[in-house]
Amino acid sequence: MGLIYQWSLGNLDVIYLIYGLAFVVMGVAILVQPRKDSAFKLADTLWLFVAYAFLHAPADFLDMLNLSRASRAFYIMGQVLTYTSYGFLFEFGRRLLGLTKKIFPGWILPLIAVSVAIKSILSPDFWTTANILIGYFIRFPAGMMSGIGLILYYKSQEEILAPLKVRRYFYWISASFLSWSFFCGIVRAKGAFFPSNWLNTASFCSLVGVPAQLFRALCAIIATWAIVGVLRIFICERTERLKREVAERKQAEEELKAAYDKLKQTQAQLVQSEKLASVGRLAAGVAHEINNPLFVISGETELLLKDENRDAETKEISKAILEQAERIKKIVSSLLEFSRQKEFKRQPLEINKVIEEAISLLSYQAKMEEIEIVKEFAFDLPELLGDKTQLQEVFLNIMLNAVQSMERGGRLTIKTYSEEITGYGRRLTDKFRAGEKIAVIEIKDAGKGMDAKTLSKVFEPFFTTKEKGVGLGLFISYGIIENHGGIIEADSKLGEGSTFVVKLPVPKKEKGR
Amino acid sequence: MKKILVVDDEQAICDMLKKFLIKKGYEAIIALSGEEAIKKVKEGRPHLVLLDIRMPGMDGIEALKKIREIDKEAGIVMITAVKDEETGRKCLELGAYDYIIKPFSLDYLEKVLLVKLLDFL
Repeated sequence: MGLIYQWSLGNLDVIYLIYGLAFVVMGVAILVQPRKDSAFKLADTLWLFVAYAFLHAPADFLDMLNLSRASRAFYIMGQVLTYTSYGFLFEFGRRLLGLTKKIFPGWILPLIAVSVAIKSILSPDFWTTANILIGYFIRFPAGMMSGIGLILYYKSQEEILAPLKVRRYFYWISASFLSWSFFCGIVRAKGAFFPSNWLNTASFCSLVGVPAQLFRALCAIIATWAIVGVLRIFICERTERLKREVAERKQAEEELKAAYDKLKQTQAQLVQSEKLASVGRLAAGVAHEINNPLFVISGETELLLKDENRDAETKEISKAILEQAERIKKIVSSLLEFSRQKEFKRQPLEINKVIEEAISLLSYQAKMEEIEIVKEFAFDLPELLGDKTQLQEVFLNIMLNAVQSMERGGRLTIKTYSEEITGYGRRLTDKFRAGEKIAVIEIKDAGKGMDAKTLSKVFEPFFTTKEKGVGLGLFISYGIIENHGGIIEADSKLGEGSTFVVKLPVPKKEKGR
Repeated sequence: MKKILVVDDEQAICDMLKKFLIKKGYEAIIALSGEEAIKKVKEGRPHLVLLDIRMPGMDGIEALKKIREIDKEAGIVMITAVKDEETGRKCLELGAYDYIIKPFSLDYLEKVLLVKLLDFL
């Protein structure tokens, strides 16, 4: 103890230097932290502590100088700097405490400052009185508020701060602030009044055997270490934020990619439906033009056939011509059916019944091919508006294809259900609007399936994989569903069967019904 | 002998129908436009008119109205290349007896339409 005492007294300048340097380190450490945009409210008060540190450091260096070359000017400058710095520390402590407990109002500091100034001026020794009173009423409460405020702040934010493992730094900094406030705020110059007349730097030194300055410096060193530790929260926060930003950006990128893929898909669909629509329009025009000459051909041939003066061969040929003309007529009328827009009757119908009737039309064929027809009907399907005959044709077309593709028998599943279009992931080009109700009919076969190339062409006119097909069945079906305001889609993989999905809009119920 | 007027802007169709009708023992005249059809109705007063709907200039429907103004008795059958129920209904309202879609069998025309209609008239 004696040694420390001896050394301390002999090296007070070193202690002042260390003390001052500790402040510089604290100030710089806080300044370099990424506190900007921090969610921690602590960050908003830290500039006050920086001001405290940067004002206090030169005061300590002045104290140090004062030891070697005593000067009244150094002393006064040092005191003024110190007192100003205490003001910032007080405000720091007050606001810090205010984060959790609003006890002291903003005018308390000016009030104390003015009171202390008046009291000091009235006293015989201004500087000594000021030194003591400022210690008691500003430095001491400042340290207490800072220490308690930090602990309370930690408690209030424990949930967020605990994972950052900064608890011990908060406790150390708080402990150092509290004890520091004692060594700095209570142990002051010797005054004429209580308690400074018996507890002061000189009496402390003789009582403990170590000057208070050494304890102050010790507190400052611990505080410096702990502050650097506490400041980790800002680094962690920024790291978290960066991580989050990267994740968000990644997600945005993925969403963008998904949107792009969807757009590509939509475009392909759009091209397909546009193509089919234009083919339909073209077919209608062509059909009209073909019918007139076709009529002449069939009429003239009929006349030839009826002419008794002709020989058998001519009649034979005429018959063949008539048959072929009849074929052309059928193809043309099928083509026309695709573009026949106005001509379907909208009547309320139960889609299950429509399908049921279509099934009964091919049940014999299915039986012969050893195909099991499975019906998974939802019986709460709302009524639709549409043309029964046309819709039946659609289902018959799809099911006939299915039956024909199942050469080795198997299961043909027909499923119906209703669905509400969700708002998520809608496109402007989508047929159905969000919130709209639709009826879905799924027809799934266990047939040969199709490769991607075939699949992309199934709805095109004159596309067929059958030996005797014309290739208009699905083309017409597409047109019918389109006219009903619905969608028809196909999905298939070679060897895995095909699924056709028909989606039809459910008419909105009128009020009062 | 019953007189039938065939109206179609296509010569080949008129010729073919005329040939057929004559063979079946009718008197057949032809008109290649709506305007000509009205003139022929005024002059010749046919018992029956086979009238094409889609023609350049005065179309079949217009001609139908005009013919009905001149002759309330004549049987008129509309001929069309495209099935269109709405237009068909309109023709019936305007006084046509029926409509028939090209290409049709001449047998059908004779047995189903002409015989019945001429009986009725």
